[in-house]
Amino acid sequence: MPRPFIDRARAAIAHAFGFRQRDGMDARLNDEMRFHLEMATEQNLRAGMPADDARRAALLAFGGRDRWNEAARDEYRSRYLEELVRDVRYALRNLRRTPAFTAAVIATLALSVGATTSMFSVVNAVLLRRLPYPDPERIVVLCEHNLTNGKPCNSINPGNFLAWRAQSRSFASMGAFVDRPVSVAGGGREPIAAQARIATADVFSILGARTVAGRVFSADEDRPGGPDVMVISYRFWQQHFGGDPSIVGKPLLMQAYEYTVVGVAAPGFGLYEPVDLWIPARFAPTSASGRSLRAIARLRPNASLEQADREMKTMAARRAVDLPQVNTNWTALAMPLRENLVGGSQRALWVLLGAVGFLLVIACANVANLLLARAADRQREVAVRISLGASPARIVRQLLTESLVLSTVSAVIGLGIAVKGTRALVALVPSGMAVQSLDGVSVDWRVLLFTLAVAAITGIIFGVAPARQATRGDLQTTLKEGGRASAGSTRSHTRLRSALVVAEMSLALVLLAGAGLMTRSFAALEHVRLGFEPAHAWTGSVSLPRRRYASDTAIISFYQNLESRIAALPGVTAVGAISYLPLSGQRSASGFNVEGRAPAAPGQEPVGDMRAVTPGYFSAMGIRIRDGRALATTDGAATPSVAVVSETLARTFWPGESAVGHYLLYEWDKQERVQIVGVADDVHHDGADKSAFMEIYRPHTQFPYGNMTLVVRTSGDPTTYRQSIQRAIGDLDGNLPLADMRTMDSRVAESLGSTRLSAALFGLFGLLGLVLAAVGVYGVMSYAVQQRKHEIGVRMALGARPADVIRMIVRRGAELATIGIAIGTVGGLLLTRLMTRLLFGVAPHDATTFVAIAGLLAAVCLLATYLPGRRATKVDPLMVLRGE
Amino acid sequence: MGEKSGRDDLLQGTLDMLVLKALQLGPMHGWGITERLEQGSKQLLQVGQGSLYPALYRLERQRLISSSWGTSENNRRARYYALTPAGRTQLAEERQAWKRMSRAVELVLAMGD
Repeated sequence: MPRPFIDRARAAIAHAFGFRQRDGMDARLNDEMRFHLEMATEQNLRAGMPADDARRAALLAFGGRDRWNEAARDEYRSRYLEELVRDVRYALRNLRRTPAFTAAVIATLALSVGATTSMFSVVNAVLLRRLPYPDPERIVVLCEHNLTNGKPCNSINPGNFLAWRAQSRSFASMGAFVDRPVSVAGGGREPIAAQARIATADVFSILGARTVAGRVFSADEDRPGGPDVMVISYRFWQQHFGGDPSIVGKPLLMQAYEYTVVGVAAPGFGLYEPVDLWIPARFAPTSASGRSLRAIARLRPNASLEQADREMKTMAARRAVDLPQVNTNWTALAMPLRENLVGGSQRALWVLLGAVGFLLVIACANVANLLLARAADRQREVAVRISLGASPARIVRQLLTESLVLSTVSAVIGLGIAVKGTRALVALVPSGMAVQSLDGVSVDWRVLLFTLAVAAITGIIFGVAPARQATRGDLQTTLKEGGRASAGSTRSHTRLRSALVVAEMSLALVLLAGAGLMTRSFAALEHVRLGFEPAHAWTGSVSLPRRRYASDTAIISFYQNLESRIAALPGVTAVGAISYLPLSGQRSASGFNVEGRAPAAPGQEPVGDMRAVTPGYFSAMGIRIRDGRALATTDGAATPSVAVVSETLARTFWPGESAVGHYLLYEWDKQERVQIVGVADDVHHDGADKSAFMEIYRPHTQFPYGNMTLVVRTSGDPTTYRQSIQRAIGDLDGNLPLADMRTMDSRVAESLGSTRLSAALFGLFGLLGLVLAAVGVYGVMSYAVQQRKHEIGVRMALGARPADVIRMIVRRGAELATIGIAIGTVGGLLLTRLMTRLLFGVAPHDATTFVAIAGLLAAVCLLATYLPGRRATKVDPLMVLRGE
Repeated sequence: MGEKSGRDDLLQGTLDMLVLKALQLGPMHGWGITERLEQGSKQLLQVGQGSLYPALYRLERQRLISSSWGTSENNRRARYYALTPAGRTQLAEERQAWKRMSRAVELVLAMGD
């Protein structure tokens, strides 16, 4: 009688290992043995033996308890384990006999398991992984926010920061920092270009810094007039000092000032971009108006984020009253660190994860199809075995073993793919996307187990279920009908397989739609006119230490000399320099007013990017001047203040007329009044997908910056000029390293990096989905052809032409394809809306893309149908009619 | 059911069939089954407990027979075995198979006589 599944399972497991039954079994064996002995003894007594002899004879006949116990117990202990080994060997042999099937299943499962696991491991590492700081969810980022011009997280004013730190009650500690490129020298080495972080001491405590040597600087040291101390990063230490711990306590020259190294940070420590060293900020209260700091804080244990945010707004309001010229129209906020780090890349990664999930489903459907086909083929074999006396349970167990063997092999290969794939993907992730350093990202074990479980379950359900059905079916009919299995199971099988194929095609269509949209976005991005010519342009930055270049004159003449030296190099067609290069992610903005118009309310002025450029910049970058003139060598410290503005600025304030000749007013250290002498093409400073900003280019001679990025336009390959440029610098000043040397082309490529990655991955998934769907259709159609071999033979014998047969088969395939594409299109239109924010230049319901994809899928599926159809016509009618 | 036990004259499968037959006459304990087999074969078959009990446990595991504690004719506690419906079916099938095989063996042995 049927017992609950759990009971049976438990009994089966106990059976397999002879556990738990032992005690009860031993007692039972003993009782039975005792009874048997007594009966035998009684029989002997009745036969006339004396009492002792009777018992002894009975015992002798028994032949020893132990051997008896053993034999009996042997029967009890199930042979499951031996049978398992035999099943596995049989399964392997069977699978090897049908190599195409085996290879298809293993490849499908392994690829999809590998892809899914890799993708999720990367998503986990980039988005979800625990931040490497103590209690990371209590760390917040503090931002300022202009109510008019609204960048969500603006940098912070130093005076505001100090005021907040003094007044706030929601935060246990608060720290701020700003990064600068510097040159480091010392110990007789060549000057090294390094990235310095000027930070308050609390930054270390908030982030839980650890050192491998020495210590970090303390709050005492971080005050005006405090000691010149420095903490260096692990990588900097290894790279330039060979990991020598004696560096602690030694002096280094940074920007020509002497700093003492007090410690080396632990490997991997940092926030946002990696830096090479930290020095104390030594902030003093100030009323200066610049906003350049980034700030983080740790919430007090009993304070909530909402409380902290509200307090920030209150304090900002108070600051606006205290210092209206700096803070009018500005507010402040606190946001969780994770949100600040992850921001933009979240959506792309989740969408990609969804895409690979679709791929996994398609793969499982394909495997299911293959297994169903195989089960149908073997129905006859199963029927024969049952009629010869095999137990149905045994056969089901055997098929189960086959499925498990397949799953296991696929799993192992899938694991290999996952490991390799994860590493490859991690290498492709653009550095800006990740929450933290991606070193040492490995496969996420939970996801691997999940996907393996999914694959295994698919294998088991679709491998075993039809076999169970077969074993219960009508044996006689199965045997009689030969290869064609009994009518009932065929129909339901075929319906199921067709449904699976339709599902596969729908999912493949959705995937392909996503891929098509992403690819078009990427292509559109690549074609955006950036406003400059990236080809043949070399860039590198030079930072002048204030100590040795204290006066503006020194700074200006250095860059002028450098440019004339570089211009003299053979093959150099133009040289220029700019304070903040496009695509560098850096900018410096200021509010301004237009002379002759009503000034805007404080805090609500239009904002423009301020850039200092040398005269050669526009031709070096290939930026076209559309109106007026470019800046010239004649624009100097003594001549009137001038500026070249960008097209957007000119159009905003002087639509339809020329901007040249008008004046702009702004404050930078002092009040400035500059005349517009030219209008330049817009430049996409933040990347192809962001719109151009209002730019104000000022001559370097009138707006000197000590840290400029050179742009050198060459006739040949720009990278070959590095050494000569370095030598030119060295001739002027031997202690200046060149930093961040890259071609403009590579910067452009990197800015497109995340979109390229998304498009490439989507394309890969879409292609795999298409291949799988095509294989699925091919399989189902082949099977259908085989089923109808008899019918086809009859038709051909009755005079049907090959074309008719093909048309019949293809029509069936077309039916399936049409349904699949219809469902897929509807689903695709619904789902691609989730991608809207990722797309550029193409709408999520873009008709061209969908039509093209539908066409592609239809064509591929029809081909997959046509091939078996053609094979059907090769059927010899006579052979079929005679019956196999 | 094709493994030779090595100690008896009976193939394991045949013994199982005979045990099933013995139980067809009604539930019985192990000792009683040996008696039935001896009597039924007119003392030609002596089934030792070393082969019987393993066979009984094997058949029980295959759910062809079931067992429960009972009281024997002389008021002792004994384990009684009985056929299950599956066992009944199995017995019928094995009788057919046995008939076919013994006929085939006879025919071959009679070749050329």
